[in-house]
Amino acid sequence: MGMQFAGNAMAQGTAYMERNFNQWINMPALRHYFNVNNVYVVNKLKLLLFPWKHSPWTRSITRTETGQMGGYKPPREDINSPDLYIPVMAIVTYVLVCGLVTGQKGSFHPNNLYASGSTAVAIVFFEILFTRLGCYFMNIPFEASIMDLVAYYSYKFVGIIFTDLTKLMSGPGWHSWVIFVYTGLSIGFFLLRSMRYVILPEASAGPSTLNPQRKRRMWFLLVIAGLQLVYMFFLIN
Amino acid sequence: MALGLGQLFYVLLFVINGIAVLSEDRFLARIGWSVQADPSGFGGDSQSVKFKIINLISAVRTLMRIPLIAINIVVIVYELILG
Repeated sequence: MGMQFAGNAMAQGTAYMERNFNQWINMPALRHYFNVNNVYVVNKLKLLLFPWKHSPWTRSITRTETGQMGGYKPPREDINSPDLYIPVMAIVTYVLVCGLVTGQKGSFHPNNLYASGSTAVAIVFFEILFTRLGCYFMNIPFEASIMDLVAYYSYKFVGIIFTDLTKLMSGPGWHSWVIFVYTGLSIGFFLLRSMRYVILPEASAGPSTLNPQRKRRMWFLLVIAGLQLVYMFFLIN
Repeated sequence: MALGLGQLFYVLLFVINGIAVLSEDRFLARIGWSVQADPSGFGGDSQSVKFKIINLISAVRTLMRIPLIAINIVVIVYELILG
């Protein structure tokens, strides 16, 4: 009797929390982004550090039974789909690596962790703002979700972690700069290929329609991908 | 570089403040950026970049004047109290 009452109270409590929580954060959408498995994570990390040979960059679309287009396929089945698991892990690892680097220099302070985490979030936020403003100015219909952009712009932390770890293990010198430039270029290329379908929505058959609007959009895309290197330079310590 | 979320918020606040204080008739009309301009459209695009910038500036000025007053007061009080 007492256990039934306790079980009832727990069920009511969770139902109340769910109702109020779902108003703020869209849980099913987030669930889609965290739907990953090990194979996807490993392949995506390899793709981030070596994107030059990967061939089809389009995202697969799920179709419902009537043949209409549903949402995109989850990351478990499609390597081109952005996920949020790698970005979250990458940002947390970046904060920890920053703490490690300052600790090795002997000047660690817990305040530094907050500063580096805040910088990371601020840069991602600024990039999202820049992209939305750019899409507004160039009349690009913006269909992707903001979580997609968060995912795409947080992938560069993987490259930053890689560079920081090589700098940590083998000391600063010209080889860590080489690795920094290489990871910057590979993340820039990755972003170029992935964001192409967000920013140039017309299915392009080739550079035959080179009107000025399309050229401006290509420049915008190139600027976005090129700025990644600049941001990475500021985020590496 | 002390770049963080708080600094980014201050930067955005200052930029929007700057846009909000642009005077319509003293400055924007002088340089030809007033809102009711250019009924003769630009060639191919229905809305060129300049048109959008003009619209964005006037929208920021119309919409954000009153919330900006409130946000500025909050930030000023915060800075006064916490130095």
